[in-house]
Amino acid sequence: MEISSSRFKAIAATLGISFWFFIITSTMGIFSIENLLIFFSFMMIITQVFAIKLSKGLDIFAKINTKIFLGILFVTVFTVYGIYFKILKIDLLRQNSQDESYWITIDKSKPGDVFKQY
Amino acid sequence: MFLNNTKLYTLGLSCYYHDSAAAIMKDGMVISAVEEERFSRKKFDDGFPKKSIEWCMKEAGISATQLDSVAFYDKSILKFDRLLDNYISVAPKGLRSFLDTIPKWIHKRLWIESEIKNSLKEFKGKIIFPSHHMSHAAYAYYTSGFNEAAIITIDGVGEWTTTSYGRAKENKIELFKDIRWPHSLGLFYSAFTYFLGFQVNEGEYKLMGLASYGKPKFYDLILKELIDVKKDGSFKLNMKYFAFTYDKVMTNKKFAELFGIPVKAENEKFEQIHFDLGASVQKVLEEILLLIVNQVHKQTKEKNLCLGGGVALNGVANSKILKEGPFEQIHIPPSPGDAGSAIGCAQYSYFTHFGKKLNSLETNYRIKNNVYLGPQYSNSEIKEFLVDNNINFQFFERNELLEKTANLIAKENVVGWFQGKMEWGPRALGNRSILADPRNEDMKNILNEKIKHRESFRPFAPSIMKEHTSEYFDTNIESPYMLLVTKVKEPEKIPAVTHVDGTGRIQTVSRKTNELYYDLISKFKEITGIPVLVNTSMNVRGEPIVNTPEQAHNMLIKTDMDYLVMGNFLIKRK
Repeated sequence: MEISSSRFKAIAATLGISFWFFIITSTMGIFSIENLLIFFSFMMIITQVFAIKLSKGLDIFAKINTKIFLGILFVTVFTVYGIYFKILKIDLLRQNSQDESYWITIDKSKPGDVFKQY
Repeated sequence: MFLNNTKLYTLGLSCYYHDSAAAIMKDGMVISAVEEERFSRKKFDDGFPKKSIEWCMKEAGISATQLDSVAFYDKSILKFDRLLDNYISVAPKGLRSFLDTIPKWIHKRLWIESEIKNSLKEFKGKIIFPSHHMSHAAYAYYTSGFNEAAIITIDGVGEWTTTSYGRAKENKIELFKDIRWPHSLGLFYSAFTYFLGFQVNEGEYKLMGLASYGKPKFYDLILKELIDVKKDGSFKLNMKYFAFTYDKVMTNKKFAELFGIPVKAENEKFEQIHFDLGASVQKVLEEILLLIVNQVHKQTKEKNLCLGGGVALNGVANSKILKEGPFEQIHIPPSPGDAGSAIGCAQYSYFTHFGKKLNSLETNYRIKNNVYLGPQYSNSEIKEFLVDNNINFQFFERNELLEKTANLIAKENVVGWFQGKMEWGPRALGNRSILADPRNEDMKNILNEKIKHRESFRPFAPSIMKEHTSEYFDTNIESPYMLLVTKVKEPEKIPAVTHVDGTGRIQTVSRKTNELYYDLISKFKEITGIPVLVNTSMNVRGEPIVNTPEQAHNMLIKTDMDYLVMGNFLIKRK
């Protein structure tokens, strides 16, 4: 989000708002192409004039949205899996004590692995 | 396989955690390397090292099209995998840490390949990703000059690995065993760093200095409660006491209850218990490291050891390994932490992946080439800066300059010494240094309070002419990167560089590795009979070491430093 240009974000915002304009006016039965074009042009001018401010606002909005999404993900997926793993005693973090050693043998890597990030 | 048939250029990068850096190699030789913080002026800058890359490319005189490969120092997706596994394991705890960490990955860290391609638009070669600890291992081995050696890497955490060992022989590195997250010696030490009121990833060396003031009263308690150590040096942390898997802090309430004190605030006064805790964790670390080196020696039967990873910055532990461990020789590169891996991954790419031969270098040349890799400024550039800013200066020819500077230091002036290529790594080794007279006991306080503005318990390091090392210190082993701590033989002769426990973190200087600096110490010896100078990095608390003449001159203005020598110019503080 932060690396997209302000102008691009302004166009995206105009398209989004115009879409909602279309939905709302259609529902109310007052939709016309002329009105849509006027609204679209007006919004385009406004968003381009305030592109930088709009961009900053959208960045904050995106961050908040990301956090909300991740929060829901954590509660609904990670916590459920966490509890499930605990019940099944799956020791992902190797917390169980060993008698002799905690050294783990490293698997030999294949030549092509070096091009991968995993 | 390669883009051109004449010269092979490899760019190495490390970033996104701490100490971002870039390095460039030409035909297997590192020709330039620099940490991003030196340009951005943000200490331990972890951002993408854009400015470092630009400088490295400019220094090499090439464009991105001429790069044969770019190496990145770890495998981001494996690291992300570790994070996800971790959060599943600790859930429902960890929401705050999850919300803080994961967006950084989604927005940036997972897209390192695109970031590299965007930054080097014309680059057509391959991008390679050695593992984090392989990058540490490569840096430790390929800078050592050893043909065969055992390798140990120890740090906070890489992808999953926190500690690993293996062997290198004739260019090939193999890591056999490791210990994995969250069981980490680096994070174990960092937990105490946090608990004692220091910043993690910054205050570890302060903790090392503080440890000398205490007694290891909590040694047994730490081994009983916090860490399970086996005879082969392997270990497991008791996660009941640590919070770093689920929180933004390192330790939890139980940790504080165990020692009966709360986490120390940064501005709170130190009590004896803080010193004792420091001494205890230092002793535990040293004992575990000794067990590990013994195990690795037993497994590899090698005579030489290469040590890498951030824990290798602990000079006290390094000296113990050298003195009490089974290896005949130990090599620790000048920047064993994550920044150094920018060189390590480039070396891995060139020597291991592309199978190029490692040429043996003469020792002094190798040392010089391991350290002096950063930006330099010519006399004409320095003069231009001084003239443009109406700064009064005196010009001296080389010998006059050395004579004058040595005399100023002998008269107890504090002198900034800005010469040649900036050092690679966290230590100033005679090119971006503040120098002072080691004979004056008060010099420690003058430097700590008036110049460096830092904690009074922190010691200053000595630079000594290599051939005089054993006269002043309890060792005759070379320590060109200031990574060994050893007993001072006659503390009364050099009190300013003698720590409270009678030790010093030495830098041995030979004429072949830094001619000008060596000659300055030699001149000081002619005047005073002492072949030692106090050497501390040219920076104030919280700022990176200076890079440019302007930044060096700012030091002169901002602090009580008496003189600044830049190139052949002497500037007096007004």
